[in-house]
Amino acid sequence: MAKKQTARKRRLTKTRRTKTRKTKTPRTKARAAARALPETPVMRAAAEELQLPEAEIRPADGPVTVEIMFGHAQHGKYTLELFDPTGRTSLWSEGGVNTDSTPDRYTLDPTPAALLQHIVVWLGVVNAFTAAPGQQYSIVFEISQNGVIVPGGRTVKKGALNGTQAFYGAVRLVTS
Amino acid sequence: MTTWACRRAVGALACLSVLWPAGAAAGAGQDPPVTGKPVKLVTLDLAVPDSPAFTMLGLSPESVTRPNTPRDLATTILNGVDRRGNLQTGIALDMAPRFLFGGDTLTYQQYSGDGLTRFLARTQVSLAATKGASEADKAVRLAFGVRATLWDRGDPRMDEGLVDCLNNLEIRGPTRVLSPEEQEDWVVKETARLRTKADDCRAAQRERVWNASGFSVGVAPSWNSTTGESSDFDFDGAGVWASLALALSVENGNRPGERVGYGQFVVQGRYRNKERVPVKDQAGQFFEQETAGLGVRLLLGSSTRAAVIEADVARQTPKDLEPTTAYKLSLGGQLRLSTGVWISFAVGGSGGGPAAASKAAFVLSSFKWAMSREPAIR
Repeated sequence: MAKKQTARKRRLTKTRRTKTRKTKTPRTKARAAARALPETPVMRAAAEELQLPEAEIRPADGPVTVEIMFGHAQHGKYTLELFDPTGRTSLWSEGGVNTDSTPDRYTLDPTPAALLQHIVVWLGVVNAFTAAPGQQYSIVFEISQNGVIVPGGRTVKKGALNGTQAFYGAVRLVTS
Repeated sequence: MTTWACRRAVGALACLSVLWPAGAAAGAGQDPPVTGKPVKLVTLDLAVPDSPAFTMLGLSPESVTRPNTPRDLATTILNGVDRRGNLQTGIALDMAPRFLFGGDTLTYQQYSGDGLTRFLARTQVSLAATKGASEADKAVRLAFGVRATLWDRGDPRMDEGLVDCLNNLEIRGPTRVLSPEEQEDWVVKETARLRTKADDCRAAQRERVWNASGFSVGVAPSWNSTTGESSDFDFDGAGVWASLALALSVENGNRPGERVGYGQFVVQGRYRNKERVPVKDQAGQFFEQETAGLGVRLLLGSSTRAAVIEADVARQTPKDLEPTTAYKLSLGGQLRLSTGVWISFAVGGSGGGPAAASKAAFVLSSFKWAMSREPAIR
């Protein structure tokens, strides 16, 4: 049984958010504030370049949990990683396999409010146990709070499996 | 290939056909050629058919549909049935229902931890239909087959060595977040890089379980509609197969608790009733018969030498005719002479069968040998 990769935990860097325009309604202001790109030009450029899908977390709700699941009883090896809003600094990383008894579910340490605009990356490889043709794979990645999947927090990758298939996904955490 | 004519032999040996490999008659004193193919040592198919329904109808369909999604399955069936519900053309379907209908949610932990899940996942279902090719023959034959592996010590999903090997594959994740375009490039490159390593893991596992134990069964009932109408189907017999393989191994003296395989014993039983057999020299005429058979194989070997003994007994009971028993026996072996040079040989014969041929007690029908760079069996 494989051992879990050693977690690399780094200190979370705080980011400021841009101010909202005066003409917006309070609700729109809040949304814009949460969705707004990081303040510094470098951060803003990096975020604009990435154009990632978003998952809406609730800042005042419980901790954010991420989980990865592999279907078709195939072999899965993965790395889950948390990046700062620019996507250039890794703040946390955890790896694993689906063949051990350890759940492939992790709770992110930072509070939901501190996670806004941060990016969760899930990557890895699915391997078939045989070289037989016609096999399939299915990977489900979920972001949840209090056991409930957040809007935009479920991503599915599936298709034909020709022996080996690497995968990569990234989601930016925002608020609704 | 040069074939020497049959030679009369004393007693049981009635006919001997010697097949020399190409160039073997070049003359004494010359090195034997090592470019030929090894002799086929395993000649009997003692496994349960992968698709019993196809076997039942005597089909070797060129295009078998193996639906991967329920939608694929529905499309295939709808394309094969007309508005009245009659089968249009030949259908050859082969699928694993557990993976087809619930594969997306079937986790490794469920598979490895639950015997019932493993049983269902290892069960194959096949469906085949044929239709008469002429206006005079509108008959439609339909067969439904199930193949279940009840015991499989060679299951790659349960192989700790393979799991460990795949667990240890190193993923090279990028140090920053990739844009969607970059993600696609990374996936393509990483897939290609890791596939080579994973192939090595899978190949090593196949070598480890070359003689694995297992037990499989298969059953395939069939129906026939002489008019081609779906309402006129009558039961048309069934086939049953069972195959048991037992690994032969000894304790590894160097590693206590580990076993080293040196052979495999396989026994297969089969039965089929209401089989329609063409009458010789009478086109379009058939007779019914029941067939029961038993085949065995003993394979003994190491990395440098191996021997195979195969035997098969089949009893045919035609309707309103005397039953007959036919048997086959073959022996074979291979030996590595030096690195990359193998010699293999096989001797085979048969006896019994239909009345005309059963007068001979045993006919040695072939003797073959070959030099090759590859072994006949690994």
